[in-house]
Amino acid sequence: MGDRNTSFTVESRMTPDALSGLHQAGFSRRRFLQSSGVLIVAFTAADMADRFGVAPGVVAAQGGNTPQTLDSWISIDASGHVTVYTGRAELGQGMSTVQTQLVAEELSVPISRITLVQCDTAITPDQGTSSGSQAHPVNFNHGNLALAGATAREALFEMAATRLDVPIDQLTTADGVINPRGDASKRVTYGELIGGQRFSMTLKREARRKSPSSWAILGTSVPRIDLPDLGPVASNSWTTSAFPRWFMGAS
Amino acid sequence: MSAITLSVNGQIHTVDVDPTTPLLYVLSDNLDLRGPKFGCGLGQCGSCTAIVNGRAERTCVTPVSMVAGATITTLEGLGTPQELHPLQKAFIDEQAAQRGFCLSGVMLTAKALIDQNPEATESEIQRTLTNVLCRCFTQTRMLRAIKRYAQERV
Repeated sequence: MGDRNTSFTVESRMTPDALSGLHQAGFSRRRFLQSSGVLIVAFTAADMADRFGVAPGVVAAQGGNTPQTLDSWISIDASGHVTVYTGRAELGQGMSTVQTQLVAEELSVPISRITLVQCDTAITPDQGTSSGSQAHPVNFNHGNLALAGATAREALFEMAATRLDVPIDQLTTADGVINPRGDASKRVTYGELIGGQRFSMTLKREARRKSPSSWAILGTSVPRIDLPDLGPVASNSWTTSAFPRWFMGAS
Repeated sequence: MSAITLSVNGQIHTVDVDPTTPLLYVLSDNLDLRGPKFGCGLGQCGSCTAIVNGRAERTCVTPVSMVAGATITTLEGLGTPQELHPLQKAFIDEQAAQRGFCLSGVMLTAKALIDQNPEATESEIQRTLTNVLCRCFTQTRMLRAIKRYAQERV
């Protein structure tokens, strides 16, 4: 981390949330493009525009990115920790929790293993305005975010099939570990698959999202990640570093 | 300008201000307490509520001279992240929060009510909270949190 601190001066101006997210994942927007030990799925405003039947020019005119620009991404590091970078802000409606749930579901990792970095101009994309129906928990760029998770999961399954010498359709995953269905003796973690290599991919439209009948995290009532965690459930680091000011008054 | 003494969250403060200054501005600007929020500025929404001598008051329409010598509690006087007030804990247990702008007023209004009437009925709680506006529709969870606080307090 010392290396990053000295070579990337923007960090000194970053919020504690963003900094902790950055350090956990180990990647900044500039650096992740050239780093190893990570799997990155990026997607663009063009995907979003097309998906919702909007011309890319309209997205740009509304303050979103041009189709050529990276819009958002998720990354998984060599320890299996997932970082989601998003340009949509929490307005209190629970979007940060939902974004985390989406990725946790598609990747089959616990919510505690995900760091969500929201709206830090040094490292997150400009996704335009977060307001009204553009920032609702069930109506933002959720399709892309889930597809990015599914894209990453499918890539990890391909790697695991080769590594374990088991056909893809016989593999299953839980808690960041892939193993043949019904055989826990053969197993490989996401972190082990990524190792010191670097995988970069764009959003795969045909990636298959999990069917709602198999959801374990989506569709359940999970504690908000922006409220203090009082329970026995592992706390999300983002939660503890960002104790909401409105709950306690001035700090 | 005149010197006015207030007891806020257990501390005595003397401020030198125009006596017609709203209490909210004194709390916010002179004492750096940003728990009470400026909402409507007309005493209608409740986001500026503080407890003044045991009663929930709208600080945006209360001239500071009217509360000279009073004992005042703001959100900051409830608990800390390390030591939550039971009411704050109840709100977290019930996940009774969305945007949060109204919450300071909701909590202090509820605290004043339950302190005065520990056995307040559900309809009494609802009636008291009617005038604290929230546009996020977390009301049912807030009511559950307040009831939980009242029950656990007994």
